[in-house]
Amino acid sequence: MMVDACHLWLAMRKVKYMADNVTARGKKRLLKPFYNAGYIKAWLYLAPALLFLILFTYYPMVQVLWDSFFLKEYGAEKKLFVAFDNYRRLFADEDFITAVKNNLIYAIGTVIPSIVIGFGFALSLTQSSRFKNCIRSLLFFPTLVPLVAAAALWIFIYFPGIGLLDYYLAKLGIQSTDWLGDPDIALYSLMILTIWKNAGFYMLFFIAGLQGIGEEYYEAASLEGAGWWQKLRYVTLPLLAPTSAFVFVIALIHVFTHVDHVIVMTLGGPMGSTNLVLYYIYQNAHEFNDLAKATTATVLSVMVLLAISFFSIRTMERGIHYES
Amino acid sequence: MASIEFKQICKSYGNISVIKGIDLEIKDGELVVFVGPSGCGKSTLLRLLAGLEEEDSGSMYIGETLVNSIAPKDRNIAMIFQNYALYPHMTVAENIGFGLKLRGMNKKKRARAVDETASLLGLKHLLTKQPRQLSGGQRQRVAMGRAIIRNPEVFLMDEPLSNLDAKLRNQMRIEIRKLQRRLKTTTIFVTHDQIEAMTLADRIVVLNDGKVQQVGAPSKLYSSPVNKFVAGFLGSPSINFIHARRTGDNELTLPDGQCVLLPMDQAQILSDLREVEIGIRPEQINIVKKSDQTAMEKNTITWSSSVSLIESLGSEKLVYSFHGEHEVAIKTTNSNGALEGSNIQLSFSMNNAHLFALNDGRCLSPVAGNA
Repeated sequence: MMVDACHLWLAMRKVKYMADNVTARGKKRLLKPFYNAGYIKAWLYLAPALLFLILFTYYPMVQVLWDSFFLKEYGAEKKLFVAFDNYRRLFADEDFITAVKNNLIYAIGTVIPSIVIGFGFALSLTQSSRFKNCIRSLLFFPTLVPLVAAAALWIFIYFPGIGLLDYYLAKLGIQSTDWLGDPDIALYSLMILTIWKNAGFYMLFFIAGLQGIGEEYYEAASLEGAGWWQKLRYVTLPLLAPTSAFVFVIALIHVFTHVDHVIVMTLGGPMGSTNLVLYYIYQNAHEFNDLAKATTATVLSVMVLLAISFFSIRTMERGIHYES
Repeated sequence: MASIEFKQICKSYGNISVIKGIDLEIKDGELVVFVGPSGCGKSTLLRLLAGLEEEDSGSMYIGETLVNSIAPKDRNIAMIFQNYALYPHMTVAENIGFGLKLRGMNKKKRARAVDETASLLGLKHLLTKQPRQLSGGQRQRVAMGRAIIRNPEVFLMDEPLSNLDAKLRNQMRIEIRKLQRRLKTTTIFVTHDQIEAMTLADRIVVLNDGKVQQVGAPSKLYSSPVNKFVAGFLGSPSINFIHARRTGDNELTLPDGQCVLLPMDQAQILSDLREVEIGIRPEQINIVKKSDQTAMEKNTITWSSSVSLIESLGSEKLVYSFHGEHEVAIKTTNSNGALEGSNIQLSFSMNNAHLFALNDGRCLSPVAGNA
């Protein structure tokens, strides 16, 4: 959903550019945009997608926002307007605060490593060869596995004592660990799964980005005196900024929208140590039947996501139109 | 500043041999143009010298130094690329100063150097702009700035003008020439445009099929090509070729049956060759009045044909006609009233013609061979 929203936003910017380009220079175009043939045409192209987004994305968003100001007791006939009472209740809920904290740790601990690792893979696998293509496919494989299946798989890896991990650690003389059962470790175990699953996906974006950087930039740099590190620092990284910004947004969205592994592996436990915001929302809506609280938490998380996305795409757009 | 020397350089990609044993010496401070058709190896040769490609065999010297195994950055050369390779995320000043930054020059000194270079190239008002805000000609200048600021021993330019429109290309060509004269840095300029080659070069190196065809001053290559390829490649419109059979010691017969006597020195060189091609530059063919038969001499070829097309270049005209089946171009200031479709009388003197062996294309006429 968030991705759709980003796309739509970008599409609308395009509409504006198109309209601007068609409008005769010097005309006061803000006053009568709809008299402009180009503008109308652009909106017509946009209309089908917009219709469905309004029906299935924007309308529910507004509905949820509206609902967050009401309280409806289970079985009661009428919704009761409570203004910001739901928000007050939410912030008073320790479980929610824990979920937010967990989610922050989870975000920092998965986004940065998986991007760095994905980038590293991409750097070493950009040039095509049969061997490298093979490795690429292997690294991309975790992306193809549904998160639920991956989580089920990793349960066996993490199984205390006889799991794959403990089995080999035992050979090194390290004693058995309860990877998913120890509240101090469980969240980190989930994070490792997430990094494993996503790094290959981000690698793909980085490979595409790297292949878009002209060879002559590197050739010029080597003649100017750049070594490997300087080429990375002054050529690759800056020219890859648009890709990185995009991957960063995608990664953040993943963090807030994927909880399959929590449900399969830990159910938020032990002692709430792996509870993430989305799972908290799910619990409140479907287990505790506190729809108002779930709605309110949803509103907040959507707002945070929107803010992140808009901010990132803004920076991405501002810095960088590299086609010359 | 330094001289450059290629010794028996070879390079192939897989089974395809691109450079086939090139020997070449370039003097200190010279501006040498590599010219040739696409795929002749001119860019490859340049990239070999830059160290961007690795040679299969042979050696290259810059000054006294054997550079084969020296990293590109330590060869003390600067290169200007066809698309300039300016960094889009850096300002003009950062682009120009990039090499100095990488080499660890401090900020203050660097700023001064950038400033000097920018004013030399008339870029001072653009220092804070980014490449995408510049016109083609300005980008070209920034690329030159990045090359000259380090004061390298050699400039390598790989078709640097081909992305510019015609007018700007002429202008930048003149600027490059002036700048090179001023800096006196040894320069290799690669182009497929023979006009660029003729106007820029101290010496031209004509390459074809991975081999050097001829090296020399532009005027010498034009007046004394060593073979058919060089003769055909330089000059616009290109030289006309007319096939001829030898029918006597110093007599040639053209396809239309006309006989012409060769000057004695030309005849000697022919030795026992039976078939040759006569090469005649478009400006050496005259359109003569029909009545004007008096000028006929024994070593003049005269024929009449119809005009297929006339192009006016202002002061000169290009007239396209035929000799037998071959199209012939004539460049003249006096078209003697020729009109498209009309019949005209054409003539040229064998004294101005080049003779090429039909079998291997080498030039036979003494004007070329030993001059």
